[in-house]
Amino acid sequence: MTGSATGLVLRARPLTETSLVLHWLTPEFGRMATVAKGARRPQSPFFGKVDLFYLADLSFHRSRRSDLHTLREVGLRETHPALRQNMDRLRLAAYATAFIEQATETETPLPDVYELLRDFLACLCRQPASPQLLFAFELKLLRELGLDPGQAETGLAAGTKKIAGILAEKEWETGLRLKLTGAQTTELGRFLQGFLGIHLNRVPKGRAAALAGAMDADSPAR
Amino acid sequence: MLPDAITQLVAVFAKLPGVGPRSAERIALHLVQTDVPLVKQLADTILHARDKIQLCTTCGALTEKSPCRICDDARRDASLLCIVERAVDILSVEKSGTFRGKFHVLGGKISPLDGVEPDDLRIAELEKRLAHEPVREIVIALGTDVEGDATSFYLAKRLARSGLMVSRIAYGLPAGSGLEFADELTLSRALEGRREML
Repeated sequence: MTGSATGLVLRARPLTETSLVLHWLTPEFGRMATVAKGARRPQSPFFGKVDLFYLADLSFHRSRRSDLHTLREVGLRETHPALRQNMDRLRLAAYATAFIEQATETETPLPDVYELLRDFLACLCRQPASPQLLFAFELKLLRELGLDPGQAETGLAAGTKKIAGILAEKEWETGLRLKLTGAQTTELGRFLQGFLGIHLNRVPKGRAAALAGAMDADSPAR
Repeated sequence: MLPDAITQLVAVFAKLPGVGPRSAERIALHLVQTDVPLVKQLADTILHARDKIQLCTTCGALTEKSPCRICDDARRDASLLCIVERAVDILSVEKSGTFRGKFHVLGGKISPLDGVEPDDLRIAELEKRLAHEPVREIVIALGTDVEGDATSFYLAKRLARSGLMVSRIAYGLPAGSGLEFADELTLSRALEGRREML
């Protein structure tokens, strides 16, 4: 049986000397894994078309025995080139992936989470890395997961709570226009760290490095 | 049904890169039917190589003595330093026969997804070399996947200093291939990096 979807590559790992295992996030099938046979050979039709955070149309043979399907074809849509040129952006994208992997099941439709990550990566390629972008992603994803901190007794200062509401609800660019003070960044960052720790049992990997990089990239000294 | 000893041998060979279960079985069956002195010689050679080979303390290459032959070679251009990801990448660059400088093995690439950060790589050692060696140009020769590219840009930024040129190997089409086989990214980079011919 074959399937087709549009998806984002979340991970690309060598399987053999010539093949890759690709982890995708698709709307219809959620997180799924495919083997791209021969993808590491220069003559392969997959060569140069599958890498981290690439957006592509894919078709695959469904495996009856395992969760590892076989990739048949890939049509590249977007490579997100800005992620290649800036480690702070790549760290944010990697953290977003870690968060999604921790908070979602595999092979379960995730259309809203897919759209969220797709829009986040597009925004990340247009805008420099910033704490606002990281917080906006966290707040929007928490809402998708039904864990909206806005409904909870946050204990945040009124200004910070308002910022959190805008970052969660408004378009990406609207949230990024907000100027957070150092104290507000620290307050919201600590609050979300605690919230994630409580509701996801542990903070997704890479948050500290992603936030530090985003704060550094956002600092006026740069 | 294979005897246990052969099954164990197959399992060990199957862990080697490029060796699948069928090849592993073929090698194991061949070895157990080969003359004992030859098998012993093979085992001794493997142990000897594993025992002798170490990483060069200067560049990180595989070597029998440290510093390695390349680091010790006064005929090589000490002002030119090529940065590669793995020790075996030195062999690929050397095979090209066009590079006469020295090398530095990074030991990996920065991978936020796998938790590999700059401190996990041999970047501090590289900076020490820059302080003590007469390096005037660094050639970054890392892979061109997303993490390889991001690592290259990170290094270019971190290593930037006056009197030091940081370059990276060019992107382009493989020799002998046609445009129809090139992926979009390679082709767009090849076009961006085009050169005047005459």
